[in-house]
Amino acid sequence: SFGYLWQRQVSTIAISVTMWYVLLLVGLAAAATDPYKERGFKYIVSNQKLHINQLLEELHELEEKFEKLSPDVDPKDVRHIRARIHSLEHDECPRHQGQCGGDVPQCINDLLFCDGHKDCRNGRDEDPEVCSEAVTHVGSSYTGLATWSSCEESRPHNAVVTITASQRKDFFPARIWVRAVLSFEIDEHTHRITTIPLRGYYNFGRRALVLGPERGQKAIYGVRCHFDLGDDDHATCHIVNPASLHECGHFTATRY
Amino acid sequence: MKIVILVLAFVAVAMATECDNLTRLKVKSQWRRAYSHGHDREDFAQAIWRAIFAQVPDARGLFKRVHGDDTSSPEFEAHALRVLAGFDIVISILDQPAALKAELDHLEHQHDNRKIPDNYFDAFKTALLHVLPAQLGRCWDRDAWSACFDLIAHGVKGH
Repeated sequence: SFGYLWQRQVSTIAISVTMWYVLLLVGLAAAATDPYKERGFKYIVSNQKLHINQLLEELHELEEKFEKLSPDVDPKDVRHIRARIHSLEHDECPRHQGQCGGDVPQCINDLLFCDGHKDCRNGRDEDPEVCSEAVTHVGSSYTGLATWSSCEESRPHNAVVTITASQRKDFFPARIWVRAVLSFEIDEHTHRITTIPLRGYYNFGRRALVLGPERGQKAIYGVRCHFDLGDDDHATCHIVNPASLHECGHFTATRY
Repeated sequence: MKIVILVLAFVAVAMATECDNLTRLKVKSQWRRAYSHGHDREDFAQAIWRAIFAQVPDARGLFKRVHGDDTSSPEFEAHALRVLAGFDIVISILDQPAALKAELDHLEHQHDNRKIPDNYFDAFKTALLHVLPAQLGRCWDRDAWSACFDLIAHGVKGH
C-alpha cells in the first residue's frame, strides 16, 4: 500500500507541473499580441464610456425636470386635513366621551382612556399613540395669535401657554395633572406682559388640555386646548371665563 | 397690633375648611354636576372603583359576592351604582342634620360587621378626590370635599 500512495503523489506532482506550464504559455501569448488590436479594443471601451456618460446626462436632465414638479404632500399636512375633515363629519362623541377611532366608530367615557383596562372593542383606548404624554411634557409651550371677542380690549397679539409641571397618579392614570402659565402682551409699546398661573389636566380621550385658575389666585381666565389637528403639536385653544366657560378669545396654537 | 394679630388668627381659622353649612351646599351642587346620569354614571362609578382597587388590591376580597375581581361585570357595576346611590343620598341630605344622622346610622349598621380597615376608606377618599375633578373639569373645591367626605366616612365608620 505504501507503493500505491507513492505512485499517487508522483502523478499529482506531474499534473500540477503541466498546469503551470500551460499557464506560462498563455501569459507569453498575451504579451505578444498585436498593438493595433490592443488600440482597437481601447477604442471600443472609451466609446462605451462615452455612451454611458451621455446616458447619465440624459438621466440628469430628466431628474432636473422631475425636481421642478411639485413635491409630494407632507404627511403632516395630510394628517391635518384628515383631522379637519374628521371634525366636520359630526361623529363627535357626546359630552364626557371620547372616540375610540378605527374602522368601527365607538364612543367611551373619557374617564376610561389610558387607565390600563381595554374598554374600546378594538382596544384603541390603551393605544400608545392615543396615550402619548407628549402634550404635557414640562416646558412644552403652545403659542398662537390670540383674537379677543370679549373680556380683553386688545388687538390680536401672541398668547403663550407653557406647561410648568405635570404629574400622573398610578391609581388614576386617566388624567395627567398639570400646572401651566398663560402669558400675553397687554401693551404693545411698553411690552408689558401679564402672566396667569393655571392648573388643570390633560384628558386623553378628548385630547384636551383643560386649565383653570391656580389655587388661591383670582379666577380671571381658564384655557381649553383641543389637540384636534392630528398630532401633539397643534391645538385649537380658547381663553375662557373659568366659571361659565364663556369664550373670551381664541388662538390656533403651535408647539415651540 | 393685637387687633391685627387677632384678625389674622381669625382669618386663619376661617380658611381651614370645615364641612359647615355653606361648604355642604357647595359640595351638594358640585356632586349634582359630577354624578350625572345614564351610562356616564356607570363609568364614573367604574373609574372610582378602579382607582380604589389600584390603591388597595386586597380590598377586592371584600367584594367577592358582587364579583369584585372584575369591575366590568354587571354584578359589580350594579354594586358600584348602589354604593354611589347611597353616597348620593348622604350628600343630598348634608343640609338636613336629622335625616343625615339617620342615614349615616343606617350605613354604619350596614358596614359594622364587615371589618373594613380605615385605609380602605382613605383609598375611597383619594379615588373620589381624583375622579371628581376629572369629571367636573372646572370649579371644584378640594378642601370642601375633603372636609365633608371625612364627616361622612366618620359617620359610616362609627368612630
